Amino acid sequence: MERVDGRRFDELRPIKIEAGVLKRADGSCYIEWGRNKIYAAVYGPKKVLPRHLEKDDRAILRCRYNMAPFSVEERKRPGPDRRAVEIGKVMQGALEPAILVHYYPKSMIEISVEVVQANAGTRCAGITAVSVALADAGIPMRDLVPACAAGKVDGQIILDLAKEEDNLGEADMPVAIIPRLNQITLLQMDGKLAEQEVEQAVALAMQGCQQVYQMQIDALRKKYAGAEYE
Amino acid sequence: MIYANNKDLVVPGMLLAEGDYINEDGTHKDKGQIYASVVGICYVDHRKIRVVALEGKYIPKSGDTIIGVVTGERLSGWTVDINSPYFASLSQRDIHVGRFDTLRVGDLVSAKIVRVTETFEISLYAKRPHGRLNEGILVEIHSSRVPRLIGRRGSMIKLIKEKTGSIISVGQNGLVWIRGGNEGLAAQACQMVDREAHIPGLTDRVSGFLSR
Amino acid sequence: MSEILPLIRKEYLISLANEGKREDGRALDEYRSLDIRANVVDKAEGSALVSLGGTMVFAGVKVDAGEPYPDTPDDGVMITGAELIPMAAPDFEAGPPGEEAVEVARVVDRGIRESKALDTKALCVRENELVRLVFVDLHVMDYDGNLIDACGVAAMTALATSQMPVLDENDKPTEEKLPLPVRDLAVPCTFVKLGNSLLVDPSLDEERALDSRITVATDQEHHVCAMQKSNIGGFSLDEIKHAVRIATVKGEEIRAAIREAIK
Repeated sequence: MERVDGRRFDELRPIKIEAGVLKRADGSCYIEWGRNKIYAAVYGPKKVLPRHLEKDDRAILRCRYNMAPFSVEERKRPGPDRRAVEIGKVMQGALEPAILVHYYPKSMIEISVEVVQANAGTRCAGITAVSVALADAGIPMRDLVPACAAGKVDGQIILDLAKEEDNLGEADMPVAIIPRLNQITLLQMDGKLAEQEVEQAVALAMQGCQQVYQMQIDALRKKYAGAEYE
Repeated sequence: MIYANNKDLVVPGMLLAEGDYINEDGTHKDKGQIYASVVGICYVDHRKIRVVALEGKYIPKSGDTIIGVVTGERLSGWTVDINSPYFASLSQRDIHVGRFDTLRVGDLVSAKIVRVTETFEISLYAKRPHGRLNEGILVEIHSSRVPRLIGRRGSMIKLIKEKTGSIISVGQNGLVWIRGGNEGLAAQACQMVDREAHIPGLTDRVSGFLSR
Repeated sequence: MSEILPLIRKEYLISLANEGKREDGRALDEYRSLDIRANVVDKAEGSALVSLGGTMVFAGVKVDAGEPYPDTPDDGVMITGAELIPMAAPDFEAGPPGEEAVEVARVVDRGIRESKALDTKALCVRENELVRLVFVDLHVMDYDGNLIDACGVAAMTALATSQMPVLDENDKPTEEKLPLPVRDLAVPCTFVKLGNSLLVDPSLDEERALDSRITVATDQEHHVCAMQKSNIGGFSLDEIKHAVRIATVKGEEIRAAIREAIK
């Protein structure tokens, strides 16, 4: 099958990840994934505000996903809509299991994702970037969290749907994993898939995640290349 | 079985060793396997494995000397921001200020952390040689780079003090107070250490910079 | 650092300013490095990414069509908005734009509007009925002082590179594009008063230590087209004169940088 951009069925779009791109944030990352352009920032661990959200045994995570008004075809009104709120919530679910939150009781880790140019797959790109930003902030984690979608277009299960494929496709399934625990921590799906296709799509997405994982590691290594201490 | 080499650059999730090894800072153990928790440099010392983090917030430890900023007054003391996720408290009993003097919000204090509870209630002690820091300038560096600024057996900070003639007090929390001598030059040297902490040949570069 | 600027830091910045010096070694009338990149977002009609020292701002322009305001029936409409998102600083809150964000957007908007940099008459399709609506959205990614100037440069650059779709006979956008009618380059120039000195392009801590702030926007004819005094504290007439003179000179430097970026 020929894909719109000439990719193989199991091929990712070009991905570029850069760690440590913002000055104020404790950790940050910029990702270009196909034509998506996304920034992720992490502040913390920091004091909890409002204070009643404090947990005595662990850090709490706050995740915000936002799209710039000019990031999409039709100008998006500023402020969170229902979609953004939901993505923030599933992002938290995807990332928190990888973070050693009990190291920092009564604190808060603030995560934000800003999409400046959207082109299908922003939540996967966002989670991938946040995970690098968390590492860049020095937050202790069990592992990095890569994310990637699989879907169904023209009856075929394919990896990492481009915008045109997403618009015409029969299904889209974003997945995030904790590679070393072999755990799926983000799974959403919309469209229609047969039981066997679900299995196929999850497996393919997990393969994609493994490739993304390697790029995350490379991005962190690149920032600190040649590092030594003591 | 050991998988990491001494002084390797590691990232979270990387398998460092399994079996009979002791995991220390910057690592965690899961089902007998030791993994890196942070981005950092891995040190293997016989059976002990640790990762020195390259980034991260200051986490208060009892016995540390820190520099903090007074952010609020309380019944019989002050709340102090110690550049960490947690506020510390300083009781009136534990600091000397003149008879007609008091601490103001925005004042800088040098103090020792005397107690950190399990839920991070933190108490400070700021009698001599600690106390309020008057005049001088304040520089902030990454707390993870404080060991670099101090240097092996204090060599780096000694170098900067000697070349600038400044009094320098380094808080474990990354706040550095400089007074007297060539304050500006000393501040720049501290910032240079912060910026280039992980690039080899740091001492020579700082020495070169200060001699110019 | 802590949410409170330590007093000795404030005193230090003021004593330096009184000697005509700054912490980062700049002259009082010297900007930090300014980097302008045009057309960075392909979903926008025009866009810019501006870095001013550590401050980083995206501006994106979207063009639509709609009814004019009743009091300006043959004028296109420009709407400028700024968001100080939580990504940009540890103390920026999510939620609707606060005072600070609104002020930034309004000062930027005023400079462009009053200089007639955007020819709104040329954006009229049919008087009283249909005009072009130009949305300028400022997205602050990193706040390291002097938002107004960074945002002003970003907005002006984005407008100057915008290509709006031409409307067909049914007022529907076509594939054909035309540049926005941009006739001038208005840019703001912001000062803070520290001690008895005026410092252009304040850094984050210079801004935190300030008594008062003033912005002077100029156009390419060297006219002043907008001003804004902000925060508590005041200025003398001589200080205002000084600010206006420097703003004219700096405005020309910044315009040259914008022209270079959009070439």
